[in-house]
Amino acid sequence: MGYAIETEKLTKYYGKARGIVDVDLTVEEGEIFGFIGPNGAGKSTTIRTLLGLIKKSGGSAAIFGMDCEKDKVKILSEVGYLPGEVFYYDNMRAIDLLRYSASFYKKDCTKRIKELADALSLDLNKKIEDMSLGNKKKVGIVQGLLHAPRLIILDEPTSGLDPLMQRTFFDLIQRENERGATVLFSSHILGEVQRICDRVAIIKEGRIVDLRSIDDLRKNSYKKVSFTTEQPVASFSLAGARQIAQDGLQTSFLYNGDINALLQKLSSLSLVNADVSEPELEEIFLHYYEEEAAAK
Amino acid sequence: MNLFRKELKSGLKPFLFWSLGLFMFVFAGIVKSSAAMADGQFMTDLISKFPRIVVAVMGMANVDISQFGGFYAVLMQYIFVLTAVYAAHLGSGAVSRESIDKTYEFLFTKPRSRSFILAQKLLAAMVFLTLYACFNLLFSTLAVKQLALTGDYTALFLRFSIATWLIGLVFFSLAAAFAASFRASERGARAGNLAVLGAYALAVVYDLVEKPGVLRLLTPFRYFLNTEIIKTNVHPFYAVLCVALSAVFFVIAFDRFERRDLGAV
Amino acid sequence: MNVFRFELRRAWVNAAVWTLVLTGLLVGLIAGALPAFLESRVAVENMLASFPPAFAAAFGLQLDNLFSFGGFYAFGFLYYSLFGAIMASAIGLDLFSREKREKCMDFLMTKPCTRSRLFLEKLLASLALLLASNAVFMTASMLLYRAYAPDPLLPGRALLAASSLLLTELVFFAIAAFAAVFAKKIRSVSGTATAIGFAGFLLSALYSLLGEEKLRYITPFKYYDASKAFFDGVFEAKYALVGAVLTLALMIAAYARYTRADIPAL
Repeated sequence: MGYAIETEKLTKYYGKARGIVDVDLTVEEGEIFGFIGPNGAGKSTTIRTLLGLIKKSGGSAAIFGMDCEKDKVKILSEVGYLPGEVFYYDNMRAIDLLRYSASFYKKDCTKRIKELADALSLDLNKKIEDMSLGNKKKVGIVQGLLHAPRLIILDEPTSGLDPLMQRTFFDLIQRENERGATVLFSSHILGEVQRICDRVAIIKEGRIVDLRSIDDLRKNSYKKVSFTTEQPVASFSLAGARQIAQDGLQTSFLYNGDINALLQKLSSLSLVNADVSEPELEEIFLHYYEEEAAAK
Repeated sequence: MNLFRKELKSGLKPFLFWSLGLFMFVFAGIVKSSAAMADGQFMTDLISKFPRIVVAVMGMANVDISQFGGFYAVLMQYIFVLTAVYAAHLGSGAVSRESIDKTYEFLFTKPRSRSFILAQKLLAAMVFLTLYACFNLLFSTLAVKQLALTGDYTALFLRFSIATWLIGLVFFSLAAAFAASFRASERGARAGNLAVLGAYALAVVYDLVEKPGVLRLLTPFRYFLNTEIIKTNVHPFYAVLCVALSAVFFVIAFDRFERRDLGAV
Repeated sequence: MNVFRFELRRAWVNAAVWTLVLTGLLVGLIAGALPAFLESRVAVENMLASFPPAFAAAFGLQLDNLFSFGGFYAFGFLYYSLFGAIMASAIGLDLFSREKREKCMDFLMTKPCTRSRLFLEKLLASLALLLASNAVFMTASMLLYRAYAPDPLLPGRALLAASSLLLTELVFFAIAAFAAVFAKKIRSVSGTATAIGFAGFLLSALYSLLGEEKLRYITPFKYYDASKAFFDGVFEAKYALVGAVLTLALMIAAYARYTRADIPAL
């Protein structure tokens, strides 16, 4: 099984300003791949280069083994793209736009359109410009998926959606993935990446700084521990605990080590409340930077 | 008055382009006047033999182009149309700019009433319109000086420039009213342009008909007749009519603008 | 050809309206005024009789041209060209800046369709509209010619003269398409189209006023001169060539830009 997406030293400069530099990415077929990073890091640039919307300055990019520039048309017939901001033609009903979109693919998409619209409760006969943002996004989702693409590329897809819609959206994406589609999904909202992705790449200032599986990230990372005691704890220490902070009756720290040792230590104290949790991806992410900075 | 200044800045480039057009036209026209007037008597006789419709379409009805005044009047017919198109552009632009640029959320959530904002924009546009009319006077005077023509035509130019301004005012306010009334800015702009074209067509019809009468009220291009301006002055009734019409259109524009939903397009 | 059909559906109403206005003007002018105009020739000749013979002779030669169908047709052509230029500019601007204006470049450009093909289909839709419009105009012209022109009839020349509108419109279409592809922002199609059309009109009026032959190179309305077509049976090669070259160059530049430009995020 080849790679769905493979880039090697992909680079794009906007004049003198850097877009992305030496980006190496491999996305396997069938996986859900997250692509995170702060604003301006280069997520959109990478995606737009893959789709042929902008021309790369250097390096190579291939989708399903085909070069992104040379075989653009063949690639795009198997790719569904959902951009962050959704605009469509004025004075068009949703169904008209979706039919127009479907006319570019050499297959009959009417059934899929209906299925997707029903799943999202989308009124196809309404004019797009009269729709709320959420509904406009629904149109975008249907538009991106109606031709049952092998690769789905999402660029900050949930911006502007309410939590219920977000949940529905991710369920839909997961169903597509079960059907066999690969998903590349860029976001700077780490919570959603954490929930559905298999692997994730982190981009910062145009360069990939890490590429890991989600499980991996968690395995080698920390538990967040905080507890409240009846009496203030004199000086708390535990092997594997870092960033110990004490504030009155509350103590908190990050722990990396044997979970049994932690629980034993905790049970030796008289606790009012204790909380041991997985850190948010954000905390792991930020932590990586601290580590790197400290290592330097 | 930061909005006023910003509107002036953003309208400057188009204004310069339109003024360039005005300049070329006025200068070229007046330069040619001497040649035209030499054959003037002949041309007048010739034209008098043409059927009315031809003369009307050429804009040469009711003038004696052997005289400079008559020739200038013909030139001014075209300047009137040019000014009307620019004025319509100014009017619809002032109203629709933010809707087109999608910056309305920025501007209209500032602590200023919509009417205040619109007033600033229209005022800035009026500056350009007034300057445009002044340029007409300026360019005409300069052109005549260049040619060292005899006769003082300043009064004539002044009267025509005032007429230009008044006609421009009507189309300016009308275009603003259209733009404020239509939800789609493109439709409003089209309505403004159609109004100019329609008024011009009516003006031609006016020249054709023996007893036009009421028709004169319908087309701003005939509020100020060549014969009147040359002999006496801008007809006061029609001058007042221009101002009155514009006031009505402005009221409509402000009212609609205050009430409309600001959304897509 | 889905893009072709899509664009056609979106733009045909506007084109139809302009065609009606244009043809209406043509019919109105010729049917309404040509007979009277031709009749007035006698009066003009009488008037000439009272002028010095040399003068009368010089002007008399032009009388044939002036008081013919061709002369009158060409006289109205300035106005037909104005409307035609606005219509053609509107088509060029509308079709080639549609996605840019409505912010859906991403939508169209990520479809499995080469940009070349997108450009081509838009171009074909534009040409279809222009050809249809001119078919109406030219048919009307020929019918009027048959009805009102005195014998002998030279339909070939009439057809050539009528076709000059199409050719002039192509120049403006190319200018507008070029502007649409290269401009960062197109605010209003009708506003910009009117401005382009009027600019052409102004240049033409300037040329008429000043009479400088050199000016003709920048007067698109006169590249394909209707009156010359009627009286000489051909367009003037020099200017027709300028028009053709300009049209092609602008379209090629627009094509290159359209197929190559980066589409940045909104």
